[in-house]
Amino acid sequence: MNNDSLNEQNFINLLQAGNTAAYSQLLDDYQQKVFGTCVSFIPNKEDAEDVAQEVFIEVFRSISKFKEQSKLSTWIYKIAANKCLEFIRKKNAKKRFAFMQSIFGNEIPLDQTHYFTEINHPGIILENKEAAIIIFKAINTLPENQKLIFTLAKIDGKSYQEIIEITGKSLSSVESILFRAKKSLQQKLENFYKNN
Amino acid sequence: MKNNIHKEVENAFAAISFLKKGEMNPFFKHKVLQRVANEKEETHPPFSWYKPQFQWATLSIILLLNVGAVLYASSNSNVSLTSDIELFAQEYSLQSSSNAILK
Repeated sequence: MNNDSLNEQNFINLLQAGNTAAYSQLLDDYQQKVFGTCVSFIPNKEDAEDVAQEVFIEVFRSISKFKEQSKLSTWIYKIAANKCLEFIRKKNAKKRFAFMQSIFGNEIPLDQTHYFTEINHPGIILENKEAAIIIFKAINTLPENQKLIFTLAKIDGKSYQEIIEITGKSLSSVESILFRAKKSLQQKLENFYKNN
Repeated sequence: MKNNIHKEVENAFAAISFLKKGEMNPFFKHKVLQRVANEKEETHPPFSWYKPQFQWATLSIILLLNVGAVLYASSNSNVSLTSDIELFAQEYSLQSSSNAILK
């Protein structure tokens, strides 16, 4: 066992023992990264922070079940992605006209009521805001596996290797899903710009 | 027109490519550690060691003791009743073996 994995093992042991200093270190190491992943899925700073909080609470609750079949970072990103998708699912379900999106699958609804949150991603620059809003809405209409992989790859900037570890899918599967997501988004955006 | 649409689509993809993530709320860490501390308190109430297995074991022991006590008490009461009757009979010479007065 090399030094890094020994250190990680010790760190995990401390987390499992509920050591406060270890949790403080965990937050120092991961809070910005987890927030980055959350805001990629949920382009609203306040909502993304709320979900990021839930991620760390889930880490605290579930650390005793962490069996080290993956790296700690991979496990944390997995929790983050799942919490984000869960949040989006719940918010989408609440929207009164969510069912219309499933009927008119290719249309990107224009008004805010059809998106699950108010888009105020801290990284969007003003001149790109309208285009960014349109594409975030388009991403929200993708099937969940395409939404997950496209967001991790193209917004969160995760490598293929990281995506494989987080999702548990093979490289060919990730590539195929990403390709389909891009094709689908291109189609949706073309339809939108044609009609508007 | 087709070129324009294509350009708009490309712009939309470019708008979200590798977005900067922005800074977090500086109190985020404090809020999370506070919640973790609260969760720790909730998961360790007094007598948290007294798990359901211990509770069932205690209940079983108490039941056994009660059943044993009831059985012991009922068997003792039968024995003492018999001996009380014999004593009474002896006192008042009612036993057939002690009817010497009739001789």
